[in-house]
Amino acid sequence: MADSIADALLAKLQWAVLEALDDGRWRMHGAAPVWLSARTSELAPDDLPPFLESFLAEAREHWSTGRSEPLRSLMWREVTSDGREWPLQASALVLGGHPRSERRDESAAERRAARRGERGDERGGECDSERHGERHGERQDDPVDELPGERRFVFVEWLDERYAELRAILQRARATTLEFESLHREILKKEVLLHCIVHDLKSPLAGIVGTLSLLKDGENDPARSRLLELALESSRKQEVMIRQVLDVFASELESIQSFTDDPKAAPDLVECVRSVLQVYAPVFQRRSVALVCRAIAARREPLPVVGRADRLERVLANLLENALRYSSSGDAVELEFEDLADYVELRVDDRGPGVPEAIRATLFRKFVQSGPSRGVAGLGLFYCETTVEQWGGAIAYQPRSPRGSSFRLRLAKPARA
Amino acid sequence: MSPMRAKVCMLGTFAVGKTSLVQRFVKSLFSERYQTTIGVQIDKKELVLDGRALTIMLWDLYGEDEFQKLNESFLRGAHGCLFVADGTRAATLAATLELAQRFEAVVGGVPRLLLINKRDLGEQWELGDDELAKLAASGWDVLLTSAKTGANVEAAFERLGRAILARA
Ligand SMILES: Nc1nc2c(ncn2[C@@H]2O[C@H](COP(=O)(O)OP(=O)(O)OP(=O)(O)O)[C@@H](O)[C@H]2O)c(=O)[nH]1
Ligand SMILES: [Mg+2]
Repeated sequence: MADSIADALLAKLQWAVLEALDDGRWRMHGAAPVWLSARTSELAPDDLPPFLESFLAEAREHWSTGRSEPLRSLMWREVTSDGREWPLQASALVLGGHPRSERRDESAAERRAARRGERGDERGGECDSERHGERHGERQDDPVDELPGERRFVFVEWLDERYAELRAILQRARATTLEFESLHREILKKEVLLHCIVHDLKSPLAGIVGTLSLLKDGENDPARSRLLELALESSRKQEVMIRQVLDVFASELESIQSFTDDPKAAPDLVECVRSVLQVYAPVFQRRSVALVCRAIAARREPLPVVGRADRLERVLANLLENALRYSSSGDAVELEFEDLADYVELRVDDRGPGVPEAIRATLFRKFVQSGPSRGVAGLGLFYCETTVEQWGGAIAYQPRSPRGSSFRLRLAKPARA
Repeated sequence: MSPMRAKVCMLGTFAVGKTSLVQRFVKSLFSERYQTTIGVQIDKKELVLDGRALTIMLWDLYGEDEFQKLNESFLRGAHGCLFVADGTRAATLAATLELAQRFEAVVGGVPRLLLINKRDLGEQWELGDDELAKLAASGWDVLLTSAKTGANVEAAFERLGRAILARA
């Protein structure tokens, strides 16, 4: 009676109860659950689904090392032919036996009673007795009958809603972690952007300060009104930039992505270079660094490139600032370009110390990833690269011989309309 | 002769795309929806490589995090392993390399590849060529994959399969 209840329970719960046999096989107690297609009740490990097969091997190994504490498997799923998923978890248990120390305390009568109870469990129950009949000869060798009470089982539980609950919690936790990580990355990006902006805001100031200093030095300079004009020009530029920064914040990062490759609206590289030179020529002059731009001076017709004029000017200004920072009085910085078939290559060369070998590989990388901050220069280059790459262009560094740096900017030409 | 059966583990922290790579490879499917794996999911794929049959049992294990730690006993008996990191989350690489060390302690010396997944997300890509070169220099066979576009997915499983057959 008790056995038919046990069997009914097992069937209802869709559990599998497998008992380890000494010949390496497993006996299934009760009817096979729906998720397990088993034709016989004594199963070789490879009759079983792969995960279970591997867990059964693990259980035997666990027992072989003399351990009797329960062993639990990972959760896994079996899928039945109707497409239904069965979340499962197995436990390896030793029943009936007791750790030696406990067993000593236990009365013999109790032990006998326990053993009787277990045997009872095995008999009865229609399919079980049938099986026992078939296998009667083997049953004599079953170590279960010889050993004092210890029998080894693997129970496989169908987890049903418990699995769904656990899954929902873990899913939620992981999704939250992912969201947190991506927000964190967003914040870092914004931080870099902010640094770049501050850096860029500083650039026209160099022009203003340079011009004003020249003015102060030559009080009766006939070029006075021209210099004033330049200072004014730089101030206006800075004003424009500040407005742009406000724009950027207003429209998130969106505006950064906007550029044109429409030939009619494409910025003219020659004009951009000239406008940057206007700001920087006085600064270079003050530092006694020559600024050589032969190709620009000679160029008569416009040279449209893909991008945006204001940002292109900032990229150029960044490169010139960099070159100036590492130049000494008497050096020359060259800003030249070459008009090639599909693109324009522009280079800014200086005679400074060059970029140390160790940081060349990461020169244009986000400073947040290349370890210690390289300061404003690093940010400027990061800005240059991300900006130019957005336009399908590229920037590269090359050392010069015997010393100096060469930054090469490749800008795409707009598709011919 | 029945084909060789190989246990191959997919290992890496959570959400790097282990399940997506297996689904792409076994079923040619991809979903943007993230459904975290609980425990393990085993898929089977039969391959014929250079005329030799190989049945791969793919153990798609859950991604380790603070909620679920990896139990090393489930790695035992593996014939090969695909370690997976997410190229858009640089930190997953370190975590995966750490898993690789633990794998090595349990199942030493079996063929393994390192897949840097989500290659299609170029904009968010965080791993530079220098990092990849370093990995290659330290003995890793690295492939950049995308479960979304399928890029290098078949190549990865087949390369591992060949390496497993070569040892068999
Ligand atoms: N764009 C893109 N998304 C991917 C790619 N691979 C995976 N994903 C997405 O990344 C998320 C996680 O993918 P999974 O395959 O579930 O990751 P997993 O490593 O199995 O995660 P766990 O099971 O939690 O350890 C899902 O939203 C996928 O759609 C890929 O190559 N490209
Ligand atoms: Mg998964």
